[in-house]
Amino acid sequence: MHLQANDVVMKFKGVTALDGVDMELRKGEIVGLIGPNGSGKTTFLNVLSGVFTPTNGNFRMGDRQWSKVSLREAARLGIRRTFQNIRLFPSFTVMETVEVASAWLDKGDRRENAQIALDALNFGQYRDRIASELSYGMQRRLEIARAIAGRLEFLLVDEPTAGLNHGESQDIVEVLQRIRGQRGCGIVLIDHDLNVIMNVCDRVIVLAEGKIISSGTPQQVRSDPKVIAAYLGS
Amino acid sequence: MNMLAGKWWKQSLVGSALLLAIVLVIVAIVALAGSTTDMRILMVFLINVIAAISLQTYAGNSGNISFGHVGFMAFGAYGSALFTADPAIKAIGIPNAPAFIREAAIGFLPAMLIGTAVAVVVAAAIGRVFVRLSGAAAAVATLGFMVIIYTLLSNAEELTRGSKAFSGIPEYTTLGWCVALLALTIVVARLLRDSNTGLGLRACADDPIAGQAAGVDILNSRYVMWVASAAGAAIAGALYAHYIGAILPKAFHFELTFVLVTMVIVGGRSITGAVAGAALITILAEVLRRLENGFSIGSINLSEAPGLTTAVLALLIVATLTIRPQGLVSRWEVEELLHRWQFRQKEHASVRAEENHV
Ligand SMILES: Nc1ncnc2c1ncn2[C@@H]1O[C@H](COP(=O)(O)OP(=O)(O)O)[C@@H](O)[C@H]1O
Ligand SMILES: [Mg+2]
Repeated sequence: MHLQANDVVMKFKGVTALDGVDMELRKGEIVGLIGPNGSGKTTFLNVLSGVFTPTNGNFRMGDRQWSKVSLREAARLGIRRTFQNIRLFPSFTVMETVEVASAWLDKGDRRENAQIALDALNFGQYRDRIASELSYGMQRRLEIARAIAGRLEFLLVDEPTAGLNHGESQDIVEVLQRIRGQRGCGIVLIDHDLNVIMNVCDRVIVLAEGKIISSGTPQQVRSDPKVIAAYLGS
Repeated sequence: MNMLAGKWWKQSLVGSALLLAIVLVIVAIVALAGSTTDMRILMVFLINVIAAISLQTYAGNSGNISFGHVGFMAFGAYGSALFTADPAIKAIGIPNAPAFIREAAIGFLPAMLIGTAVAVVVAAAIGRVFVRLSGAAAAVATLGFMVIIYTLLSNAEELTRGSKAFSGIPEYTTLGWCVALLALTIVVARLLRDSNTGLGLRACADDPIAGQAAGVDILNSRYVMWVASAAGAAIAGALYAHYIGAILPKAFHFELTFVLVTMVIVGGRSITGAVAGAALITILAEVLRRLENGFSIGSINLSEAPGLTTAVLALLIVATLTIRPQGLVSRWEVEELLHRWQFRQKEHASVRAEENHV
């Protein structure tokens, strides 16, 4: 199954954050989304996951097509995400955090299902800890656990390694690869660490000022003069 | 054994039973050792607990406070009172009321159900608007609702005798009724809170974007809690009317609102919190009431200190919001508190054991 975005435009007052983006995402594929700060990466995830309604453009997944979707509907379609600025439920325990998604996006026993998602991220002995009291790295992992509980077609992760040390970043990368392998979902990975991107992505898309300026395999993108110019020129 | 493992509803039932057991211990102590006055305080406490838990079912789950729930209590109180009061008394007190009300003399339970049904219908009708609001707008709208109901009751002379007391309400409210309905309230409130709906709504109270991205339907969840909490408040109102025997619109106005809101804010965000808050405020109010009748500090003699209770409650809210904004028990239910306490004991024990080894 493919998730397709056609001619997506997102304008905020005076700022065009996305300027006609076309993208096709496939299940089972890890796509890296890179670009300078403010190039529209997060905005693209926000539009795709229903945080914002785009000014123009539409989406298609399987036989469904839409130009406007709520966060909740996107989640029900299996378009799941994490947030660049971590968004957990500060008063919830680790278990409860994931249970919310199991309760609303999955069938069967919500605690059993949440436990499965937690186990996938090795959260074993932390289940009764309070989310807001976890270390930064654990909070990032908990966001991923919540995002994979229940229906999962495409996983959108926004800078999951930001602020993490090398070992923690490596953990996240392995987790994402394992999730892709086990769940067969597509993954969109935004990251500032180009080593991470080049290592795990099947395909890389480069945004600059709201437009796609390059895409292809990591090797192709790395040697694209436009990409080098965009990174050095900004 | 981990109390918090297994099916969620089993935990709700265990928690309900524990909370009810604690309340029953209080009831038993007062019933065995208390004076008549203490019994009266206990009854009002039990009714207040039902009201506070009901308010909490909306406020604690949605994160929006409501100043309007005394309006639903009024529906329960007047609804039940109107259908149970002696027709001979009604013929004099409210001669212009419709015949089906004037001549009615039905039992406590059916009358309570009528009052509750009225509250539910009103809550369902206005709820769609209220659940769209958050924060200050939501609070102010509920305040408006409370004032509107008060005004309506004060002016509906044919039904309520206006601002005059509606008396002659049969005193059906016994300790048994209070305990039975409190048990029901606790169980239903816990099941609602722990249900997918309650869990999702509490998540959205913490972070609505993240909650909705986890699939939560925030508006419908709020609506469910709003309507259910109105029903609980109406039951408390009916118990109140049939306990005091006389009601007037002023009984369901700022003062009661303030007391209930204080209970919920001071207690915390859980059902357990509502009970703890109600207990604390009841004890405090009683101590203050006795003081208000006159006391002296050294040579200063305060023969009368009216309004002391309200002032102290206000201070208590301010103190809670600044010192412990999460309330006495924070977000936890009684079985969770126990579990966390045991867990900490074990951790301390293992730390001590390690220290002894070294
Ligand atoms: N909610 C918003 N309101 C106004 N402007 C926004 C909003 N979100 C993003 N922008 C603007 O859109 C542009 C793209 O931002 P963003 O998508 O966050 O970039 P990136 O994630 O690639 O760093 C920036 O100019 C940013 O200021
Ligand atoms: Mg970003």
